[in-house]
Amino acid sequence: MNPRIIYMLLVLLLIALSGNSVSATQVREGYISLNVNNKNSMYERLTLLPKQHNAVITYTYPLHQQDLAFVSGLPDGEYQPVLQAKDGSTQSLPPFTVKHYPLWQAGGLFILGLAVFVALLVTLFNYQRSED
Amino acid sequence: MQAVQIDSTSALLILCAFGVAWLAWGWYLGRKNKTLDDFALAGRNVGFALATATAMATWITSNTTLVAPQLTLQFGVWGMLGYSMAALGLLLFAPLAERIRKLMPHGFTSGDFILARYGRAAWAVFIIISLCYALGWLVSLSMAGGLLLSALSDLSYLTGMTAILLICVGYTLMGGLRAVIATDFVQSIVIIIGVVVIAVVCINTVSFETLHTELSARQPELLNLLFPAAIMFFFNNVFFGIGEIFHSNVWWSRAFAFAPGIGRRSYFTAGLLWLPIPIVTGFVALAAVTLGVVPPSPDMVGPMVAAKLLGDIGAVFVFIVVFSALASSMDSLLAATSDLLTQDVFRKLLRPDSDDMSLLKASKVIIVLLGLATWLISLPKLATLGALLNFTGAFVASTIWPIVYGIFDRRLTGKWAALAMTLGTVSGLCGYFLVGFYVAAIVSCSVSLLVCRVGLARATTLFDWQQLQEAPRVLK
Amino acid sequence: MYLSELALTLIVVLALGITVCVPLYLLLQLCLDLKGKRLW
Repeated sequence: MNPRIIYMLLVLLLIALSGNSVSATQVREGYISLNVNNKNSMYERLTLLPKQHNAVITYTYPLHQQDLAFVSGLPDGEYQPVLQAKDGSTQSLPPFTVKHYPLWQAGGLFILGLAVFVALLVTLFNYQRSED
Repeated sequence: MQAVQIDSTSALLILCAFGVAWLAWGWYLGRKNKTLDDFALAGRNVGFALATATAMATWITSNTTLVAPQLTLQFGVWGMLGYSMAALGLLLFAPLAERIRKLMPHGFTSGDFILARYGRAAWAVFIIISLCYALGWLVSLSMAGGLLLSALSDLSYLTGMTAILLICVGYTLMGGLRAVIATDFVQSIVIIIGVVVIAVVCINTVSFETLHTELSARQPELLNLLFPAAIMFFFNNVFFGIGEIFHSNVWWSRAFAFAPGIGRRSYFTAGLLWLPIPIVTGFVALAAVTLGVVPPSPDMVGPMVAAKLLGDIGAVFVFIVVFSALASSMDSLLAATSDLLTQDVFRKLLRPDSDDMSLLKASKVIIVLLGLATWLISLPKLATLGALLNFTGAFVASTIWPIVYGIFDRRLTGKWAALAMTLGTVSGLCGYFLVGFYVAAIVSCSVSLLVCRVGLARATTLFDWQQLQEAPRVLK
Repeated sequence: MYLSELALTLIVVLALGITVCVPLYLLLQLCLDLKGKRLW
């Protein structure tokens, strides 16, 4: 593979990765570990309420005796986690925002990976053939 | 944590039964070991069945039983498929394994090759990378042992971690690579039967229809084929896996140990057989929320779902499967890393004039010291398993190109190989801290390729393959 | 673009099918090696 193409892909990657200043409660992968502090099994459910206007979908998860709860697979949006106790009382946790990477950044990295991988395959194949 | 399933007496009983059985077998297999070749390389004549099983079993580690479900929970379908792509490491190593044995018929370690091919500077960088990786993997395995035990039984993290280390150090010490390879065969059968049973029960309990509906409602991104972070992760995992296998002495020592003509076929077969396993182990994580399992940390999802699916007996079952998976990697890693330390640090740096017997003795002392070091580092539970392992992604991916060019191309010199590994690692670590663990390997591998290409373009001398025939030589 | 139920089913069932054959294949090869006296 031509080194110049790899160089260009690298520059593209650097541009893609720049400007990703992420605040403390911003989640870029759609997963987060929440401090539910449920060692005494007081709460039985964790609900994520999207803070967006006219949102109809809420995400609920069962809770057991545990300090942390790991939730994943969330789409973009602002979320307000709420703990629900057996007696019906609730407690709010600090809100967080999910903002996935733009698709072109992820795609750029994927293409870089594919290019380097194909280069590896071709290299190994050629050496192998010339050895035989 | 959810309800505890195995009481401490039963858990200790299982541990003791395992310990005694494997130690006895290690002793039985090791009683005929006379020379260093016997102990470190199983006599350099391992056949196809054992060769394939050991390559596969070693690659089924905490990676496949704990981290594959973890990554499926984090990255969904892409995480699962991306993990199974680690099989490419085994598949692509197949041609290398064959040529390594041909180029260096007397070689012991990957360090021997790097020193003879690239000289001291590259060798030093390579040894640092190798040891960081080996220790990182060892620690993550012993931590996984501790986590598993504390999740499935009344026993503490410390007890589990200590037990798995003691058992593995014990039988590796007694039987050498022969014991490692033979236990790997049994362990691979146990692991596969176990993961198949868990997967079948999972499909029976939660149908694909329910699974899909629940995921769409509660974790929609896990099914998204355009999930950005997961797309970034995909090739990262490919290069991580390739880097792990290409550089690590675990795989090189096997290349030296397999009988002539076996290497290529067995590594290729092992890769193909390994490919579907992370999908089988990983997909159960998709059923977690449906089953009411919300793990405290992502690395616990696999055992928790399995224990939930199979109930009390299941906990014992999961315990045995994951314990086997961890042991099958840990024994290999102990053996291979002790070879590396014996040959590359003890022999090359400290005692150049040692004979076979003193090297054999040194290699046994080093196994014990390695176990002790791992135990000390594992005492505080530092990071989640995946993050700890992926930290080393930046290191190992930088070695892929220097190794490929080193084995096949006479033009690349030691200076450029050292530079490629150093710059690759540094840039990979930058990626790790600036973006996330899922880009470290890809950045590292790309930068390393770039440096190697520049090195090849500027080459003025050609390496003489004959120099490898006499290696390993001793540093003067 | 989301993965359909059918695709998910196919991927998992295929992987499971291959995995089931792995121990059988390994044991068969072990028998062949034992018979041919080339275990190690």
